[in-house]
Amino acid sequence: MLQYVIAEHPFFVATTAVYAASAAFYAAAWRSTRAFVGQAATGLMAIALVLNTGLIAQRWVDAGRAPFKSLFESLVFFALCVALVYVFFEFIYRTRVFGVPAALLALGCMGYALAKWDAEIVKLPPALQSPWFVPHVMVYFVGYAAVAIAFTLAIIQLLAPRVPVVQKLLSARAGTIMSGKPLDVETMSYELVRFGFALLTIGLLVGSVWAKSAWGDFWVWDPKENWSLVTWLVYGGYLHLRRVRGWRGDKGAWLLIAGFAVVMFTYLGMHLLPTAEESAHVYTQ
Amino acid sequence: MNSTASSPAGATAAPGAPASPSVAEREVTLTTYLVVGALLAGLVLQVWIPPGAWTLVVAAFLASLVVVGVGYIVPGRLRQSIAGFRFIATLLFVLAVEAILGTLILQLKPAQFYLARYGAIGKLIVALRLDDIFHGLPFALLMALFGASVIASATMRWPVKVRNAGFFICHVGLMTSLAGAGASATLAIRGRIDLFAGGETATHVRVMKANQPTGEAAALGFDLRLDRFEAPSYESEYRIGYYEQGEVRDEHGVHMQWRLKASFEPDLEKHRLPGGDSFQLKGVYPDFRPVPDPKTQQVVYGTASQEWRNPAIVLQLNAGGLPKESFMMAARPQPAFISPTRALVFEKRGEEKRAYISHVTALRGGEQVKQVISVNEPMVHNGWTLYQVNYNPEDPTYSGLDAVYDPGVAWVFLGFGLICLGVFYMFYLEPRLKGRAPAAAKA
Repeated sequence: MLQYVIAEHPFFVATTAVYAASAAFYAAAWRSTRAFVGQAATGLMAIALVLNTGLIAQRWVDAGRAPFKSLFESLVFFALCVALVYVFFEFIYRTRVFGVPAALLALGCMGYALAKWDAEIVKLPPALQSPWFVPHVMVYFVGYAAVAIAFTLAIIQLLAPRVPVVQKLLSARAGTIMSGKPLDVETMSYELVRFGFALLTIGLLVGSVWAKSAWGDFWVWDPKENWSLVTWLVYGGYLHLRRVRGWRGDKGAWLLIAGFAVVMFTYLGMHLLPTAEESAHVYTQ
Repeated sequence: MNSTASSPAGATAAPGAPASPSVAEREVTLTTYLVVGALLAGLVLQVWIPPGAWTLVVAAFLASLVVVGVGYIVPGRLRQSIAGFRFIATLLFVLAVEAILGTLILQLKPAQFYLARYGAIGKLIVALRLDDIFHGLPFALLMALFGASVIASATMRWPVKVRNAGFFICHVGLMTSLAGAGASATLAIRGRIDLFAGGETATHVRVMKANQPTGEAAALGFDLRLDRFEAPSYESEYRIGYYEQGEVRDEHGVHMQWRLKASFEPDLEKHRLPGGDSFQLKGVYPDFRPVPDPKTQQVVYGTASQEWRNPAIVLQLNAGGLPKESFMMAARPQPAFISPTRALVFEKRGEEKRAYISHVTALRGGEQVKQVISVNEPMVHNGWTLYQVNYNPEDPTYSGLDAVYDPGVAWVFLGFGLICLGVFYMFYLEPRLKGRAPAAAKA
C-alpha cells in the first residue's frame, strides 16, 4: 500500500513526512538550547499546515465538494485542525514544549487516514448537500482539535510531578519556552477546553438546525447526536467542577482524559453501538 | 472562585478562606440524595405514569417548580446546593450516562423485540421503561432538577450586571430551548403525504408518531398537488478499479470477498498498484468501434467519437516484471488478474442520485403557490413545513413528503442563539470586564 501511496499520492506523503520532521525537531528542541532548533520545528509545522491545506484544497477540487464525507477525508482535516490550533496555541503562549504531542497527534491522524484509505472519491448524497455541512464539520473539528491538545496537556500535567524528565520539560529553556516564565499547564488546558467547548456548542446547535432543515426534527436522539451531547455534557461538567475546590489538579486532568475518550468514541466508535444501524451518522468502515 | 462550597454565593468567598469540609460534605450528600431520589422516584412512578411527551414536559415543569419552592421554604443550604457548581456538574454527568444508555438500548421498539433480542434482560428493559428513556419519568425528573438548578443559580446571581450577563444570557437560552423543545414534543404534528404527479391533491396529513402511523389525519388547510417529480443522477464515470480478495466476517460467518482498494482514471499515465506492480493504458476508446485501417484494410481498435458511449481500453499490466496486455470493455467488465487474489477491472460507476426534487403547487381559495421541495430545501406554507423524504425507484411519478407543524421550533432556535452568545460572553468578554474593574478601582 505504501509504495502505491508514495507513487500516486506524493502530496499526502510529503505532508505526513513534514509532520514527522516537525515532531522530530520539536523533540530536539526539548534538549537543545539553540533557538534555531525550535524555530525550525515551528517552521516545519507551518509548512506541514500549508501542505495539509493544499491537500484538502486539491481534494475539494477533485471531488467537487467539501472533502469531509468519508472517514479518510475527515482524518486529513482533523490533522489540519490540530496543527492549526497548535500553531495559534504556540503563538499565544510562546512555548514549544507541547509541539511534540501536537505534531504526533497530526501525524497519527495522517497515519490512521492511510489505514482508512479511500479507494475512490464518493459522491455527496442529497442529505449532505446543505449549506450547514461545511460550517458544522469545520466548527466541530476545530473544537475537537482544541480538546485533543488539552488532552495531551492533561497527560503532561499528570506526569509532571511523577516523572522528573517531564517536569524538566516545563522549566524555562531558550528553544521551547520563549516567554521565560514557568508554564501553568492546568490553566492552558482549561483555556483550550473553554475554546473547544464554545465550538462544540456551536457545532451541536448548527447540526441541530441542519437536521431540522433536512428532516424536520432538530433532535431525534440518534446515537451520534446523543454522543455529541455526552461530549458537551462532560466538558460542561468539567467547566463547572473546575470552580469547585480540589478539581484543578489531578482530578480535573483525569476528567479531561475521560472527555477526550468520549470525543474519540463519538468520532470513531459509533459503528460499535448496537443502535448504529439506525444512525444516519456512522462512517462506513 | 474556587471554594469548598460550590454555590455562586460560596464561590465569592475569599480564595484563601479556610476550607469548611462539613459544608462540602453536606453538599455532596444533598446532591446524591436529590439525584438518586429523582431517579428512584421516576422509576417507581413510571409504574403508573407511562413515558411520553406530555409525561416528560409536565413532570419536568411541575417537579422543577416544587424543587425551587422547597428550596426557598426549607431552612438550610438546599437552595445554595442546587445552585452550586458541584450539583449541576453531577447532574450533567448523570444526564450523560442516560444519553449513553439510550445509545446502548434500541429505543421505541415493541416489547416483543426486547424479549427476543435480550432475553431476561429484555424483560427488565421493558419493566424499567428503558425502551423510551428520553420520555420517561427518571429523565423528566433529572430535567426538573436541571431547571431548578438554573433558576436557583440565577436567583442567587441576581441582579443582572454587565459583568455577569453571560451567565444569564446562556442559561436563559438553555431554558428557552428546553421550553421550545417541550412545546415541540407536545404540540408538534408530524405526518406523511404521498403524492403522485398528475394524481389527486392532498388535503390532509397522515399523522405519525415514532415513525408509525397513528391512524389520525390532520388538515393541511390548503390543497397540495405534485406537478412533477425528478431524481437526477450524477454523471456516469468510468474507472479502473483495483480489487483485492480478503476475508470478511459478518453475520453469515467468515468468507472471501473482493474489495475495491484503489481506483484510477482511464488516462495514459503509468500507475503504481498496491503491492508494487504497475499498469498503463495503451489505448482509450470512449466510443469503441472496430474500424478498418485505411492502409492495411484490417480491422483495428478505434473510436467513433469522443463521447463516452461504449468505452474500451487496452491495458498493459506489469506484474512481476512481465508485461501483459488486456482489452477491456466497460459494458462487459472482465477482470485482468494480477494474481488469484488481485485484479483490475474497467467499469462504469453506478449512477447515484444527486437530488430528489418535487415541483408542487399549493392551492387555497383562488390562490396558487408553486414551489420546489428538495432535501435540505423544505417548503414553508400556512404554518406547515414540507420536507422531501421518500421516492420510489419503480414509480417516477411518486414523491413522499413529511409535513411538520411545530410551534416550538422558533423558541428552540432563539434559545440556541442565546446559548452561543452567552457562552462567548461568559468566556471571552466577562474576564476582560472583570479585569478592568480592579484596574479602575486602583486608578
